[in-house]
Amino acid sequence: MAELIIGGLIAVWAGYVIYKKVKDMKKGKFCSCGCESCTSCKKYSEKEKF
Amino acid sequence: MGAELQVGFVGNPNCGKTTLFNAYTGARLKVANWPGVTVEKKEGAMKYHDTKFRLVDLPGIYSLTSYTMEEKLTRQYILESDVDVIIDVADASALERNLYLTLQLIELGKPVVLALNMMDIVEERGMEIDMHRLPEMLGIPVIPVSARKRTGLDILMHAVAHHKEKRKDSNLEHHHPDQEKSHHRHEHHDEYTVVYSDEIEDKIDAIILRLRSNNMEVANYRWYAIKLLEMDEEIMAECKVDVSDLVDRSYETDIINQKYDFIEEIVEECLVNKNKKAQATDKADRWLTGKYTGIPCFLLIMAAVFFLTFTIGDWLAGGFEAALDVITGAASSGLAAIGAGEVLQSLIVDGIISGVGGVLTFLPNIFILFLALAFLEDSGYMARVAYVMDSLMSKLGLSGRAFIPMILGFGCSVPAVMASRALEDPRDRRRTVLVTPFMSCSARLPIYVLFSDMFFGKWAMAAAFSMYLIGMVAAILIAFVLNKTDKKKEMNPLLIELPEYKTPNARTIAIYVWDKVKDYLSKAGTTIFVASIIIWFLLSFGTSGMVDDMSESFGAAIGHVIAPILAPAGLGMWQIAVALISGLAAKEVVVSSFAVLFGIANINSAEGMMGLMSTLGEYGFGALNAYSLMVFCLLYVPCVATLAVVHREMKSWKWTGVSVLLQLGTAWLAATLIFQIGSLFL
Repeated sequence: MAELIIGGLIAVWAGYVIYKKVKDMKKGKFCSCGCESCTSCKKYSEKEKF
Repeated sequence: MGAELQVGFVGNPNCGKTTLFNAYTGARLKVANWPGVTVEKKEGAMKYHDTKFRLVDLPGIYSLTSYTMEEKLTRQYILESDVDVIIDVADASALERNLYLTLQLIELGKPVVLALNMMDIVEERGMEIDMHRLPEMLGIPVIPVSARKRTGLDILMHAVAHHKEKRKDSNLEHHHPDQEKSHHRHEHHDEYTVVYSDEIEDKIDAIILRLRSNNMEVANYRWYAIKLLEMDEEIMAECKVDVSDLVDRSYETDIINQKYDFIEEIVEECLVNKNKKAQATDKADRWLTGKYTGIPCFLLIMAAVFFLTFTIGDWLAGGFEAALDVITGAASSGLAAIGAGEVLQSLIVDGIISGVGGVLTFLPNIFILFLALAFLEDSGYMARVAYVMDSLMSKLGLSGRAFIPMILGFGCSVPAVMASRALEDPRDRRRTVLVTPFMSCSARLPIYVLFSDMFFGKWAMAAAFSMYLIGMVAAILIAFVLNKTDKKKEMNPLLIELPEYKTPNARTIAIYVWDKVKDYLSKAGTTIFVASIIIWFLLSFGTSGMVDDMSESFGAAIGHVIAPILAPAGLGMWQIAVALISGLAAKEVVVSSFAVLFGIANINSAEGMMGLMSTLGEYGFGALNAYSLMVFCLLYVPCVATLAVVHREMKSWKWTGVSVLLQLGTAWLAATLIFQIGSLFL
């Protein structure tokens, strides 16, 4: 059972990574990172200050 | 809650717009002490009291003409968007140069607030700015700020909120002591900031009258008329009214000169002690940008960077290696305890932990490399590298401007390729996109660290450093060859502002390094994780199911096809072919592939290296093969992310294909030459 759960988690994570990469590439975001300084990111979350 | 105000940050390159934008929005966009860091429009939001602000950071520009892509983007944004207030960020320590854009922005007629940044540097130089007289002469609010020290930010936003509907504060007060009395029929001196000669003012009035009488509606008649007099291509094409009798020639030079005359007046009246020079910068530049000392200094500085990367990085890596040993042991015993099958144990221990863990042990080296690069960028040195290299590159018929994206390539090829947008000439841009991936990005560092440590002993650092030199030389030579084959070549001289040297800002450096470390960790957990699983699968399974001998696996079958092509370069092993193919996902994957291919649990440890070295030795793989492999990894096709951005920038599959073939060909040729010539002596 534990084997199935571990194997399943690895498969789900790997599948998610591939799905996210393809989605990001289609959106024009090429960097592997999610950092705000990445010049291939056009917008980022709004933050309120003051 | 009030309505949302749209505020644009406009200013000269390297005047601190992005630092100011980051300070307001809490964003962590890249900043550096050199011009041209921002190449795209960025948006963020903030709230000040009851007012919501949408802030837009724009690329730095010197004027509102439409020659470069950045100028076009910024001008288009100001003219076509609903920007409510423009914050003109000016470097107070270079007021004379910054005010030219300020005058152009004021002329546009939109509300402008001048943020005088870097006031701390002005004070350090013993200069003072008359903050009463300056707004009086410009007719707009002037707020002193320091984006780095985060002073004056509240007052600036307060001024923006109050200035949103005002085009100018009050009647302007000009003295113009040396100017002859105007014969122009309108008295504009209390109306407009810049008042031109009678000849130009007469023409402006005549053009405005012509536009109005022909019912041509424009947002700002005066600005439009000035642009027509400058024979601005975009405005001339857009104008439906014939003004050719009024615009008998281009008045651009007269208009520029008269603006500078006014700037001289402003500086004369508002800047006190302006002759005090930045002596420390001048002294340092005598060596760092000297004709004969500039390039040797650059090479020495880069050598020092790699010395630190190896010594401190390797020392820190010891802790990571010990942790990886503990994790590997714990995972093996844990999986055995829960009765996990052979396949799952192999996947986790030999695939994921060897692959991802092996790459993670190089994190300290990456950390030190980026720390050193951040220090050089923020101190103001990196801008000088482009200047220093310009003399060498211009001798080869190339523009030094192209070296700026190439320097960025030491970090990551993706933003480096995008930085080529700053080049005006499309052919220059294409050449730069083609050669930038030859610069050694940080992802290749683990390959150099591993193979140079294994095969070159005390010369390890020199071997790794030579990769950076070979990358630069290859990029320059290929750019030179491409330039020679270009029939329509023209030289674009390098015009770059050399910023003042300053003590690097701890926050800027921390953000830069943290972003890179986060990037590396994220890549290890995503791209390298998946790549390690794929490599494990390809090496553990064959046509008959799971295989004990990797030479019967799918991976070996693929590697055997490519290995003969790599044989002349001394890389004719199927395992090397598999590792090189996997490196397309990310260059670090080459290292994790070696870990999986040769079953090394902790590849960066002394035992791991010894194990790998002796296994490779059995195939006759020695120091020369290792050097050839490092050169091939340096020059061959970059990662998929870089290829995607190359395609986006080139907007052509043909040129993306050319880029791939050029890199593959260069890598094969260079590695083969090194191996074949080296074989004659070793």
